[in-house]
Amino acid sequence: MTTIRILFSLGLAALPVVLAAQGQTLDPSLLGKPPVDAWPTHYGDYSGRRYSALSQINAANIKTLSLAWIHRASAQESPNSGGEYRTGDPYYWGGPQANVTIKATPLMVNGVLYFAAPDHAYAVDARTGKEIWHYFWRTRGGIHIGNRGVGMYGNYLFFETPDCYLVSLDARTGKERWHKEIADVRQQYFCTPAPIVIRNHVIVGIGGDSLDVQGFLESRDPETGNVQWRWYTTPQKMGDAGSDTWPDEYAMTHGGGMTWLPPTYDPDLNLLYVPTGNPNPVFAPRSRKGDNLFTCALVALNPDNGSMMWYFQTSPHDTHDWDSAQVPVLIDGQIDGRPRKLVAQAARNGYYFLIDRTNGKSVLTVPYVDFMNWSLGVNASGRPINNPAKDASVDGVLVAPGSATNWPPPSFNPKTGLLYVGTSQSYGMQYLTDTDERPEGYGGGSVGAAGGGGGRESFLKAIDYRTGKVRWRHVVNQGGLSLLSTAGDLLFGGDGAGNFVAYDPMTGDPLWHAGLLADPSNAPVTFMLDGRQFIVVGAGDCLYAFTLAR
Amino acid sequence: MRRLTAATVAGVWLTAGFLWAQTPPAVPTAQGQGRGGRGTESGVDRLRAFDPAAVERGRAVFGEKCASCHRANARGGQGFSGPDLIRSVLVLQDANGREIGALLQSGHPDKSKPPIPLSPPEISDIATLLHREITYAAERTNYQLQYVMTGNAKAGEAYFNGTGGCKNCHSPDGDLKGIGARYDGPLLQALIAFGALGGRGRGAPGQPPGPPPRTARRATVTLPSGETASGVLVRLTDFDVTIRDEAGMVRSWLRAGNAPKVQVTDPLQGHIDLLPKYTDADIHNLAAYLATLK
Repeated sequence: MTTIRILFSLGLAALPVVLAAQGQTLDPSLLGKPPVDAWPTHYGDYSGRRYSALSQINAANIKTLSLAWIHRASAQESPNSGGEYRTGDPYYWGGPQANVTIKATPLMVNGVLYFAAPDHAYAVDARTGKEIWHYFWRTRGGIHIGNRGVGMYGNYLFFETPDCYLVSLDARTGKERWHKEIADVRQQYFCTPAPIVIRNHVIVGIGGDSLDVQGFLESRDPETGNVQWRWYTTPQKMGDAGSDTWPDEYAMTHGGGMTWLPPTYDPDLNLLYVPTGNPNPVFAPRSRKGDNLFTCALVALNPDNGSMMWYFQTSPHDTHDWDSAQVPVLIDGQIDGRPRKLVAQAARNGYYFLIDRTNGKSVLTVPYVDFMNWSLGVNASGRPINNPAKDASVDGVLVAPGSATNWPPPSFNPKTGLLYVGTSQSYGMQYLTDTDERPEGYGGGSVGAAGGGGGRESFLKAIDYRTGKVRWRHVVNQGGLSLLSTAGDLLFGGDGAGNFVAYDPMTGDPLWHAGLLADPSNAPVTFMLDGRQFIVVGAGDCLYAFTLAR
Repeated sequence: MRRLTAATVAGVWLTAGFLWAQTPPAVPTAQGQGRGGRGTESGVDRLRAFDPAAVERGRAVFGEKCASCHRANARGGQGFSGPDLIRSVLVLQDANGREIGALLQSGHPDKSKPPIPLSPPEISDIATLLHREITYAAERTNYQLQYVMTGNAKAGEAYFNGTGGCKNCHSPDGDLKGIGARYDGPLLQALIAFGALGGRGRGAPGQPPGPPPRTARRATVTLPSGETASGVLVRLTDFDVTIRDEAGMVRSWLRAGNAPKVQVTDPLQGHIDLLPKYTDADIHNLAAYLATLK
């Protein structure tokens, strides 16, 4: 039995994990293991399941789950600072935000929580909620829409800034070790992703779909920050793999494909699973005829050199801003009685994809929303077929779904075999605003999103990973839900109305809730500390920690 | 009466953004926040930062001295020898004309061409123009709709009275009288598809009560005693329900399971039911018909 199988099959039992005794050092052997007394990577482990084997907090005692502490993240400048902004910098337009919204998944290592927000990074005592240090970044600009969190290697932390620098901090003190430019903010890149560490590779994604730049994923050296490899999400020149899906080099080198999310990783196969964003110009496809590889795709890369092993395009020639930047969840499952290494994705375009992660071949493609009109169905290889009549037009077209889901991460529970996803059955009137032969930027937009189905538009859905069938749905007020499953037969997430909720993973019935000051804005995490299980969730500018009353 | 127009995508977004937050969250949501920089700074503000006079002067100089190679909109393309300047890395990295000026004064990058005789103010104006165009392209909230009405009013009227069933709730001489004079095409289409623009009359606590709009969802709460209370629905979750009753009073109840029972009626149910049935032609035709109701 291979390592990964052992780890996955033991996922139900609490694995003891030995942490290095001194300081905040993250023991590299912790990475990729089911999280127990740490939450050491963005997804907890590398699988993207956001599943914890912990069960001290469980369906039987959930009613006694109580608030342990609240931490409000500082939006102020800190004397512990860095950054490239200089007074009079002509590119400076954004500046520090008045408020912080925590969209980052915190890491928890040796009793300390590490997280980030645009222009900020923080260390907070996981036992008390008290700040240990705060680092502030003087920005040159860039869209300050969010930050998904930090990556960790030994004593080093890594996070990205809206003006696209990778910053490394000493986890013990919060002092900057170095910063490196990832992309040029003046070209309208902006960076939100959380780095993820695979051995000695800091995997770094980028964002920025405003003005037709190229997406890429990088691996950087944790000691120096130097680039180990860079993989572009679009071909660089005619003749390159995928170049026959673009009309010319100009289109492909301005073709978008952002890497908004950290990849998931299978250590046994040594493959990264990279979801890529939408092509550019976004709503105006006139200058980019073809499938536009490798945008809106799931791509398997070798983390040691960035070479592509296979790809599966989930939205060929996307024209609706349906970046496929939703978590590729690794599942070791059974199909037709045979064990299979699978990767599942509930994509923003409304389709659920189940793919063989050894070779990229489709197992299943089925819609998980009730109604879609942008697609005419699925072809023999599991790829959606576009309905060109639903491309944005000057007089407007009604497109469904508007956005079936988005970056808020799903969760997979191996005990139930269900993938939990926050979804919206929405509609948008999409207009083409740029009719030039060379459209630029978004080139159009969506107007309004409407609820269907006779009631509220958003549902928490539980998808059977083998069949894609929706086993249950539960009405919520807003479909962007970040979720966490535990072996305590619990599913944690928001309800879109300011409540943090524990749901029954078999039925979707709410078992416990707490009303917070804001809607949960990040994915919850869980870990053991001093023999007690904690659940931590971010909402607005606060982290909330819960543990059992005693 | 002033006619409302959806001049920009942003204009419609601003109103349409919360059209279908059917049970409004009582607290801000992460997804509801814009992409701006500091506080409320938006793309519109960024665009306003460019002196319109300088932009226009820049456009005139550009048209005279640059457009023959770079095209009037500076994007280059088929039949034009010059590159796209909106995506030009040199232009994107330019600071107030410094890099552009240095390049042009040291001779055009295409050495087969003579240096372009441009004065420093002309260079500054061209730089302002180009940065304005870049900001426009990169800020989707600024986009101008190019809408043209393509529908057939007769077909729209037939749909209104027939298949669509619109006449069951609306009348051209009643609630829709003069609607074509009040809204432009994109707003008419938003109204057709989604039934409302802007808020749905949440009657949220803390706001002075006014007459609820006819699009507001209403709820009837039936207590275990059999007593009922009705009003505009303010908030409904698994754990609580809040209404504003006819007297303007806010009332709320805790919920567990399905108790107390909450019956919600949505005046826009007819619109919701049509969404999966509409063809785009239906919407275009209805807009053309409503536009005739001046």
